[in-house]
Parts: sequence; structure tokens; C-alpha cells
Amino acid sequence: MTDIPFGPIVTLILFPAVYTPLAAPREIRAVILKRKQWIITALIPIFMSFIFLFLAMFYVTRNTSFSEQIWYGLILILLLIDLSVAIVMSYLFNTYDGLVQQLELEIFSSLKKSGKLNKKSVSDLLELGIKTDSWQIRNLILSSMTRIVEKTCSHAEYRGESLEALLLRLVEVFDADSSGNLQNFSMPADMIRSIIFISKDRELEVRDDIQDSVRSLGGLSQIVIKKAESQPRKVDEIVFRYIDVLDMTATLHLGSLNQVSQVLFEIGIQAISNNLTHIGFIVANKLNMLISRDSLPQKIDKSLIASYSLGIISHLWSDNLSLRAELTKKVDAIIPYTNCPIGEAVDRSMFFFMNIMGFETADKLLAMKVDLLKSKERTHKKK
Amino acid sequence: MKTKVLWVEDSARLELRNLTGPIYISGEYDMNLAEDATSAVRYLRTKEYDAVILDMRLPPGMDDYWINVYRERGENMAEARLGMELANWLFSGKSDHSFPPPEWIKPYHVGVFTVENDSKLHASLEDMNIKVFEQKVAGLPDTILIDIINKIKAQNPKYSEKVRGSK
Repeated sequence: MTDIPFGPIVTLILFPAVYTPLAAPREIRAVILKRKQWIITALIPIFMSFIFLFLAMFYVTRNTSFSEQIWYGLILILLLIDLSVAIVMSYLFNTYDGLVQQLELEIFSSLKKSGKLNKKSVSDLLELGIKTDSWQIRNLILSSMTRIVEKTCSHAEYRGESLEALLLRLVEVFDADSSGNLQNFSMPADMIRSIIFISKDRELEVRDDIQDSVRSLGGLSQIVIKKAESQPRKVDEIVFRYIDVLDMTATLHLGSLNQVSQVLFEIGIQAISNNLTHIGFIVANKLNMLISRDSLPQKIDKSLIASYSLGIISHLWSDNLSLRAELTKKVDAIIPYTNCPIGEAVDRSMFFFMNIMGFETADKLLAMKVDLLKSKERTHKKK
Repeated sequence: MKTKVLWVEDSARLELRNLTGPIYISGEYDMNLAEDATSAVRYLRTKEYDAVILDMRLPPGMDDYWINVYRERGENMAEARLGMELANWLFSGKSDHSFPPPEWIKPYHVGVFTVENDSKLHASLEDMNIKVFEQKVAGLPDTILIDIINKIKAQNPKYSEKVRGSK
């Protein structure tokens, strides 16, 4: 038994610990190497293996004789330890499932302890989502994020401003996708629905998380709309969903009304410039709906929503002759909420857009005003 | 006042643009879209609708209750029929869902718009007193949603009284 193959045994023990991290994708390795405690935990069985080996060497050099069964037992134990290390290492280094689950556990643990998200873990999770090329892996990461959002919002100490680290970079996860695949784009709608509905249930005021959510939906819409040429039906489905979530946000959280109006306007403009006129029309419809909702308190300033609404209508007006009758009805429906005649209401909207350097919209408003006033004059003369 | 509509539909195989076009063009409807059972429950608990259009085949969404029902039924939308489960939660009192159904909703607020059309489905809907049913088949008119909404409104006492009053 003195000719024990120590070399091969040591190689066998070290193989998973050395090879697996080297073979792992760079982004996974970067996340793991930041977590020394994980590496130490994974390496404990290897240390145990070496202790066994040293003991064996010690007894061998002292010419202590062992029965064959003891040697077989020792080798078996070493192999089992080796196998467990191989499984743990490949779980951590070679599968996104394992890593994402570990990060999620880290985040939940900090949430349980302090009521706050562990920013480092959230950032690592986002980085994985940004760097991956696979929509399936992105799906895995977004599912994890959705669970994190749901759990954070349900936490007793949640006050509406804990998700900044996650929401602000959510758009980056999608922006990085070069595959053109739109499979994951509906997941943020679920995430944001959780935030708005749970915040409503808990009667929380509009704070950072709702504002960041609205901003994210705006950013995501811009990305989706650019892909309309290749997948028009899917783009419709996703953007309709985003618009619906924005509408619901404004309905449930009146404090977000102005920001929602602005984001809806931006989605509409982007859609029209990408020949998705129907989305522009739906936006005009939603803005009209928001301003005319009977649940809207009197104290709310409706002039800003009216400006955005007239702004989007003016863009639709300029290129769609067939729509003008419908658009005139929409303008007529808004005017009572502006407390001024039609010409003045359009002027106010025009000045608003000039002030925020939306010159193109201001021009279109001016052109629409001229058309509208002429048409009203003609109708008046006929009477 | 606009008619408030909730359409519970995962929309995977539908031309949303064609179907919702008449709704948006008319400007008479305030419509929300819920694409899974979880979202539907959330919408129904926070807003009162004049008409709720239910699909029978729905994904579960994020709520564990719906995920478990879906898993128990083989993770298949056709087998799971979460739309029917949603109707059960609303009207039959048999559901174990942790939230009670909203008080405002009655069977006359609901219509079903689905690809399925079997006797078992009709019997279950009849038990719950849901009377408006439309099958999704090829060649439906683009105004199908408005037609369903009008059928739902016609059975709602609030609207039928208005119609009588105006006469």
C-alpha cells in the first residue's frame, strides 16, 4: 500500500475547484469572485480531502499497515467529497440558475434583516442580465427580479422608495439585447403592476419607486417601438400593455398623473415617427380619458395633460387626413377642461411646447389651430 | 360617461389592433387589458367596471394561488381554464383564494369570449348565471368587442333602467 497514487488523487480533488471556475463564463466568474465566503464554503470539502490524505500519508510513512478495506473506504470517501465539490462548483460557476438563486437569497436575506435591498447583489443580478446574450437567461433573471419586487413591496417597512437600484437600470437590461427577441418585454409590466397595486393597497404616496417605474416604462417603450418593423404584432401587444399599466398607475396614484401624461406623450410621438399611427391614436385616447375621468379631483391642474393631449393630436393631425373628423371630436372633448376657447387652448399648448423646446410639436399645433379655426368658421358661415 | 371595460385576455393569438380599434376610435370606452389571472384579480379589486370580458384560457401570472392551480392542472392553459376559475372565485364561493371577490361585481357584468365551446363550459357558466357568451372563431366582425359589451350592458339593470327612462 506504499505505492498509493497521491498525484492522481490530488489532481482529482483539485480538478473541479480549478477547472470549473476557469471554464465558467466571464460574467459569472466576476460575480462569484466578489464573494469570498461562497468560495470558502465550496472549498471546505477540498480541505477535508487534504486532511484525509495527509493522515493517510502520515500513517503510510510510519509504516502503519492498514487493511485493504480501510484504503477502499478512504478512497470512496475522497471520491464522494470530490463529487460533491464538483456539483457545488459547477452549480455556482456553470449554471445561471444556481447563481441567480444565490443572489436572490442574498437579497431576500438583507431585505429580512434591514427591510432594504442589498445594492451590490441587485447590481450583480442586473449585470448578469445586461451581459447575457440569451433571452432564456434574461427570462430567468427577470423572473427573479419580479419576485424581488413583489417581496420588497410586501415588506412591512416598505414606503415606496426601496427599488431604485433595480428600477433605474431595468431599461439597460433590455437595451443590451441585440437578438431582437421580444419574449421578455412583457415582464416589466408585471413587475410595475406589483408596485402600483401593492402601493395602492397599502395607501402609500407616490414616491421614487412609482416615478422610476413610469420612467422605465417610457424607456422600454422606446426600445420596443424600434423593433416594430420585424415584429409588429408583438410590438402592439407589449406597447398596449405598457400603455395600460401607465393608465392604471395614473388612475390609482393621482400624484403620478403629470409624469404619466408626459411619458404617454413621448410614447405616442415615438410611435407616430415609426409609422405606428394606431399607437399614437391610442395614446391620444388615453390622455383624453385621463383628463375627463370623473374621479379626478377638482384641485388637479389639467392644463398640462391638455397640452400633452393637444400635442399628440397635432402630430396625428398633420399626416392623417382621414382621422381629422375623429381628432376634431377629441379636441372638442378637451376644450372644456382648459377653461378657454379653442384658439387660446391650442396657443397655451403651443407655448408650453416652445418652453420645453418641443418646436416640432409647437409647429404642428400652430398648423392644426389654423385648420381648426378655418373649419369652425366655415361651419359658422353655413349656419 | 365612458363605459368602463376590463378585457381579460392573454392576446397571444389575436390581432389586438383590429379588435381594439373600434373601441378606441369610438372614444366611448375606458378599457383596461389584463393578460393573466393575477392581473385580473388586481384590476377587479381596485376598479369597478361596467363590463368584464373573460377568456377561459389564461396564464396564471405571479400569484402563488393561480400558479398552484395551473401546476395542479398540468401547466396547460386549455386544461387549467383559469378563466373559469376566476369566474368561480367571483361568483361560486368555492374558491380558496386569499382575497374575497369584490362586492360590486355581479354575473350580469360578465361576458365570456373564448375559443372553447363545449357543453361542460356552458353548464358551468349557466350555474353561475353568466349569460353572455361569444366564441372566438375566424371571420368575426371587428366590432365583436363592442357587440359583447353591448350585450353585457343590456342585461345590467342600471343601463336597462336608463333606456326605459329615456323612452
